[in-house]
Amino acid sequence: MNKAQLVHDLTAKALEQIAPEELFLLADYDPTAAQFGATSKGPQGFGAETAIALAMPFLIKFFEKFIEKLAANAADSTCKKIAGYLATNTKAPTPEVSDAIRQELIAAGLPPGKADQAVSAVAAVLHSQRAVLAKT
Amino acid sequence: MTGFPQRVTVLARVDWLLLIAFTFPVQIVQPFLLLFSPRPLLFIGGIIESAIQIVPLVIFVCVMAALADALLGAFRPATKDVPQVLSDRVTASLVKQFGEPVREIACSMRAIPGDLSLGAHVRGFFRPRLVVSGGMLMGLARGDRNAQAILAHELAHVQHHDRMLIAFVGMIVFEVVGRFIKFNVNEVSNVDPDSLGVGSLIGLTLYQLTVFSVLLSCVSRYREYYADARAIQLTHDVDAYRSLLSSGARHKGLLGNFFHPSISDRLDAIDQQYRVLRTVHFWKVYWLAAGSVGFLQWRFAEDSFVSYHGLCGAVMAAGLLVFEVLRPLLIGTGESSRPFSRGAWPSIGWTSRGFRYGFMLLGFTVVVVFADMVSPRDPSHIMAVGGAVVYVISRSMK
Repeated sequence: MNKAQLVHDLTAKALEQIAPEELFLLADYDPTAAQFGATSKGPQGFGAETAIALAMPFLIKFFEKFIEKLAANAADSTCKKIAGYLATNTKAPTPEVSDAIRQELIAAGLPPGKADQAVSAVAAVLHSQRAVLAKT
Repeated sequence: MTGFPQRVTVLARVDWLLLIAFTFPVQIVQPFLLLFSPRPLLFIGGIIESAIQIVPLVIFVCVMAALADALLGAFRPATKDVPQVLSDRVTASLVKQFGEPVREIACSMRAIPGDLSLGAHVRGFFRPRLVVSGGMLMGLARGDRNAQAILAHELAHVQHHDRMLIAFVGMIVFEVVGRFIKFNVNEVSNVDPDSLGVGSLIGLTLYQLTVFSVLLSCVSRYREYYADARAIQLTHDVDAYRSLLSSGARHKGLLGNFFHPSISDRLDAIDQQYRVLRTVHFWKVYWLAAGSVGFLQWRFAEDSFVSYHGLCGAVMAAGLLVFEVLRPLLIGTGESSRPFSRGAWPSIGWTSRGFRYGFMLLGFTVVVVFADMVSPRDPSHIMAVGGAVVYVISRSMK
């Protein structure tokens, strides 16, 4: 499984628990495409420059960065805590692991409140896919 | 919301009827002129004759409009069906906010999932459909106030039949295409020795496109004011809508403000309780100018066909001018609602908008009359150059 597909699958599984309505957006998400604002252009179009707070783009960024660090065997302390958690059979993360995941989610751009809501779901997804992650 | 126009949707729809009526002045006015003829019962035959003339033209314009809409859609991102579960959730949220009438259009909504901004537009001429961005869809599913306000604006466009604007574009295309087809037929068959040369044809076409573009831009901008006013009625929250406009997506590029008023103009319109819809200076000046041209054609044209058309145009313009004078009474209450109050007429000032529009329209009128007088056989060159000069001068006044 290539990295892009792995990121996609992890994000989809996390969204199923955090924000299932955003699954519809996942297949067409492309941060390099210039579609932002395209819908409000032209005659009788209307829009706002503010955007709705979405979890999907930040979850993608989180999983991309985490897999990169994991593959590079990075000396990052938060990454090591999460990697250590994945090596165990214990499903429930320790408070230190939860905090590490929370920090990484915030670093990816997720607002702190959303990050708090997403921690347990992200931990569960990572743990359920630990075999696949171990192969990266 | 005291002071706000009350009958926004009714007036928005009536405006379309009036614009369509002006597009067919002969067919609309002719039966009524027959009432004053020695045989007034010919009025009934006149109605039938007008209908026979109008129907194929309307059908053709609608076909051109549908083609124009399809062409426009080809340059926009592709849309997707919204999944049923999400569609049901969004529909339930919208019905709760706007009532049962919104259900049908909510169910047929399509999305551009790759666009995560808040945005929407309407597509389709015969069957208008709402198209929303992926971000907007999420906002609607979550009951976001900004998303609902944007949707209210687009709902207003649907309720006001603003897809007619595409028909306007279709009519412009019909005029230009028809002129080129007629030119080619004349070239091939040599039936009309006085037909235009290629240079004159291009000049006349450019002139027509300039005038029609100005009209299209003005009509489109007024439809946006109507949609804003109606959206405020639907959401019952002026401050939230004002805040949304302040954060509104700026329309950039060459066509940036062609179809939309500027954000500052739209905010001013709210602050002035949509005085811009109560007293539409542009149309007053336009009907005055159009009626003047029609009157001059009726009195001085040598060709009886042109003279008769001028009479019909003048009568139509006079009727529409009366409507414009009475507009403040029809739309609602306000200090400028009396037809002959100070604010009901354009203010005179070198840079005021009313003066600028008046200059532009009267300038085009003078150019047409002057070109016809100086070069009746081939007025197109004078019209093209004169029209461009008038337009450049009016833009420099801004």
